[in-house]
Amino acid sequence: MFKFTVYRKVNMSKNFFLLILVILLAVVSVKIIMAHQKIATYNEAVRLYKSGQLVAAEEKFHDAKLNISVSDHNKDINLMLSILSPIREVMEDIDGKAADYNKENDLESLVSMYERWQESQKKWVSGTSVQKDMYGEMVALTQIDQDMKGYFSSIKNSYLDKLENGTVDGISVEEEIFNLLNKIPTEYYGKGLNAKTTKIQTAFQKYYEAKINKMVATKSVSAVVDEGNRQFSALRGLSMDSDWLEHALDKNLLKVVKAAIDKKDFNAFAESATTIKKLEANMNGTDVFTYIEEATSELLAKAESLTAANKYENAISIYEALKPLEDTAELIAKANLAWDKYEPIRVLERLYPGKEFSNVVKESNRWGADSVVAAISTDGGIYYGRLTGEEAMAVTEGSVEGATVINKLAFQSSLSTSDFPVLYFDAKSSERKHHYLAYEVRAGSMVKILDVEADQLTVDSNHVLLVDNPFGEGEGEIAYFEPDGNGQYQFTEIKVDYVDIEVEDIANYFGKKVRFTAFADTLQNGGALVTLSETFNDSTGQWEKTYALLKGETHFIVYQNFTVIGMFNSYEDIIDENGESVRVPVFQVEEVE
Amino acid sequence: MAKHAIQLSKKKRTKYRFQKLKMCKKCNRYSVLKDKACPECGSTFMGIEGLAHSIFKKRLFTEAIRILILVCIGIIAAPTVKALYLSLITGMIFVIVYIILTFAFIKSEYFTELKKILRVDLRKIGAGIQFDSDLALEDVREEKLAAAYEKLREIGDLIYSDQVKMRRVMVLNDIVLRRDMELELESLIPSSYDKDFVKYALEVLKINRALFTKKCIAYFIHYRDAVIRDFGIESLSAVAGTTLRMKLYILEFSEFIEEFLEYFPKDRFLRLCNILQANPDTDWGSLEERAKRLVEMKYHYDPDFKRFVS
Repeated sequence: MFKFTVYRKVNMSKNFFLLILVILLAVVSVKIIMAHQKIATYNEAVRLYKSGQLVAAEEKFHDAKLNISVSDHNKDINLMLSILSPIREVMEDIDGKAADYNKENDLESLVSMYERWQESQKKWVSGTSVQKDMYGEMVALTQIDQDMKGYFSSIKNSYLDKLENGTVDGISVEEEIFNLLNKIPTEYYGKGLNAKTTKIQTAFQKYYEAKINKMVATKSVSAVVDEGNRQFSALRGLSMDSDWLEHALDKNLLKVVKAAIDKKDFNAFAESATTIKKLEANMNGTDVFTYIEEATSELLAKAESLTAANKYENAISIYEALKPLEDTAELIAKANLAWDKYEPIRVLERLYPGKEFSNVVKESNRWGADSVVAAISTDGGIYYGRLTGEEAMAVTEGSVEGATVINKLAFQSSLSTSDFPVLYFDAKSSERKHHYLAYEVRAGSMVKILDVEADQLTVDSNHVLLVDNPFGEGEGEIAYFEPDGNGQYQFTEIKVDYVDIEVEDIANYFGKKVRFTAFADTLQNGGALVTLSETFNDSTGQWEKTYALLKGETHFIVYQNFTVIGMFNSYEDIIDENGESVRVPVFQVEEVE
Repeated sequence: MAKHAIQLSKKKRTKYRFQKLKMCKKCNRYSVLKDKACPECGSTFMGIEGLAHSIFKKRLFTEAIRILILVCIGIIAAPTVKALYLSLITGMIFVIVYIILTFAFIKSEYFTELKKILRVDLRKIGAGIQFDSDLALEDVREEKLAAAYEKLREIGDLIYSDQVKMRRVMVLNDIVLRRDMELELESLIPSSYDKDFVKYALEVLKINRALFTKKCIAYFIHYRDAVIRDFGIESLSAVAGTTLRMKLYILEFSEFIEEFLEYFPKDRFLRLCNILQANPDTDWGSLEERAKRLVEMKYHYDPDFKRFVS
C-alpha cells in the first residue's frame, strides 16, 4: 500500500468499480432485453395456443421458460408446458431414438420405441382434446408413423432379402433372423391376424427350399441329408411346420436313390441310402425309406439269382455294395465259396499267388468232388485241385514233359481205364500239327498215359484213339491207339476214314468223306461234270438230267471213269446242255485212285 | 575559498505551508520546489489543493459508481420486470440525491480529503522532499548555489530539520550575502550548536541586524562559551549590542547586556541609556543601576550623556 499515493489508489478504485459497472451494465442490458423477450415470447405463445397451433405454442412456452431473466408468467408457462411438453418431448425422444436405433441396427430398442409410441398414442388419443390435438400435431411434425414404417419395412426387407438371397450362414443366424423378424410389429407385415406368421414362415420355407434345391443340384446326398437334418432341427427350434421339408426331401432323395438303381449304381444307392437313413428320425415312413427297403430286398434277391446263375462277381458286387445297408458278410462268403467251386482256378491262384496259369479246365460234381480244376502254369507245372464241401482244395502237382506250348487242356476221363481224372493236353508239335499228351491223376500223383504227335486225335470209342498221321508208327495214316496194361496208350493199327458209296447217292453224304467211281461227261466250271440221273419230261418233251461237279487238283479227262476220294461240301450253278442254269453239288476231290 | 556572488529569486509565498506541496500525477511523486513540471517525467505538477479536489471528485464518482453497481445488482436480482424497473428508478434517484448531498458538503469534504492526503501520503511526501533535497545537493556539487539554495529554501519552509537548516546555512556561507537578499535567520536556528550557523548569523548581523530575533539571541547566549571559543568575545558583544534594538529584548536579556555593557560602543550605550530613561517605570533590575554607574564613570564628561547624569 505504501507504493501508491491516495490519488493513485482513488484512481485505481474508480477504474476498478467503473469496470465492474460496465460489466454489470452489460449484464443489466442483457437482462432487460431478455426480460422483454420473455414477455414477448409468452404473449406469442398465448396467441399461438389460442389459435390452436399447439406445437408452436409449446415451443414458445418452452423458450419463455428457458428465459430465466425474470419469473413473470412462469406459473402459467409451467402449467401449459406440463400439458404440452410431455407429448412433444416423448414424441421427439421416440422419434430421435428410433432414428438412432435404426442407424445402429438395434431392432430390440427400436421395437421398444415402437411400443412406447403405441402406449403414448393410446394415452393421449383418449386424453383431453388438447392432448389429442397436440399428439396429432406431433405425429404430423415428426412423421413418426412414416419413419417407423420405413425403419421396420427396411429391416424386414433386408432380412427377407437375406433369406431370399441365401446369404445366411448357420442356424444361429437363422434363429437370429427369425427372432428379429418376429420382433417387427405385426402391422408392418400387412393386414390380417396371421400375415406376420405367414410371411415369415413363407420366407423361411423358400429359403430352406432354395438351400435344399441348391444341395440337390450339387448331387451330394450327404450334403442334402445334413442340410435336411439341420433344417428339421432349425424348424423345430423355430416352431415351424416341417411337412413341406419332409415332402421336398422325400421327393428329391427318392429321385436320387431311384436314379442310382436305374443306373445300376448299387454302391451309390447303398451309400445314398445309408446317408438318407440319417433322416429316418425326422422322416420315418416316407416314400424314400419304403423305396430303400424295397430296393434293398430286390437287390438281395437279384444277387441271389445272380449267384444261382453263376454270376458271382455281379452278385458279390451287389452284396458288397449293400454292405452299408445290410449285413451281407455271410452272403458274400457263400457266394465266394460257390464261386470258388464254379471257378476253382481262383483257389489255385490264391494257393499259388506267384504262378500264372495259361490253361485251365474244370469240372463239377466229378470224381467225388464238388468241383475239380486242372491248370498248367507258364513254368510247365501241372496242377489238379479238387474241392469238396467247405473243405480246402486238395491239389495234385506234376509237370509237363516234352511240351513247351500248350494249346489246349481238357479233362478226358474216357482215356482212363480206371475212371481216374485224366488231363488231356493239346500242345505244339515240331513234327506234326499237334502234340497230344494225357496225365492220369492217381492217388496224389500224375502219370503220363498219352504222348503222341499227330495232325489230329479223336477218341473213337471207349479207350480207342483215332490218330491222324502220328509221328512214328502209322505215319501218314489215321491210326488207332489203345492203352496197354499200365493204361498207357500205344499204336495199334491204321484206320480207313472214308465211305464207299455209289455216285448217285452223293446227295446223302454232304460233308462226309466218301469214295466212289464216276464217269466224266464234260469239263465245266474248272471241273468234271458227272451225270447222276436222266429222265424224260413228258410235259416239256425234253430229257432232264441231274449232275455232280468234281473239282480238285486232279486233271480230269472227258469220257473216262475216275475213282475219287473226297467230300461233297458245296453247290455251284452250271449251264446244262439245254442252255439252262442248274444248281449242282460240288464234290471236292482229295485223292484220285 | 572565495564566496560566490549570486542573485536569488524571490521566495514564493503561500498562505499555508502545505500549499507548497504538489504532486506529479504520472510519477506519483510529491515536491515542494517551484518547478512547474516534473524533472523525472516532464508532466505538469498538480498542487495539493487541486489534487484534493481531483481526489474528491474521483471519490464522488466512485461512490456514484458503487451505488450504480448496487442498482445493477438489484436489477440483475430482480425477479420480475416490475421489480427490475423499480430497482432502476430507485437507484437512479439514490445516485442523484447522493451527488447533490455530497456537493452540498463539498467544503468539508474537501478538507477531509486534504487531511487524508497529508496523513496517508506522509511518507510519500517525505520521500518527495528527500528527492528535492537530493536535487539541491546535486546543485551544490555542481556549484549551482542559487538554485540549490532556492530549493533548500522551499524545502526549509516545510521541513524544520537541522539537516535542512545546516545545508541551507552551508550554502549561505558560500555566497556573498547582500542586504537586498531575502535572508532568513530565525528559521535556520539549529537545535544544537552549529559553527556554520553562528558564522552565518554573525554575517547577517553585519548586513541586517533586524533579522536577529529573540530566539537567535537566546541561541548565542545559550552557546556563548562555544561562540567565544570559535569567534571571540567581540562576536558575542556584537550580539549583545543587537539586543538593544528593542525594549523587550533589553528586559529579556538584561543580564547578558550587563555582562557586555562596558564593551558597547558609545552609540549603542547611548541608545540603552535613552531607552532606560524613556521607561523609568519599568523594572530594569540591576541593569539600570550599572548603566548609571557606567555613565558616571565613563561618560560623565560627554555632553551626549549629560542628561543622564544626575
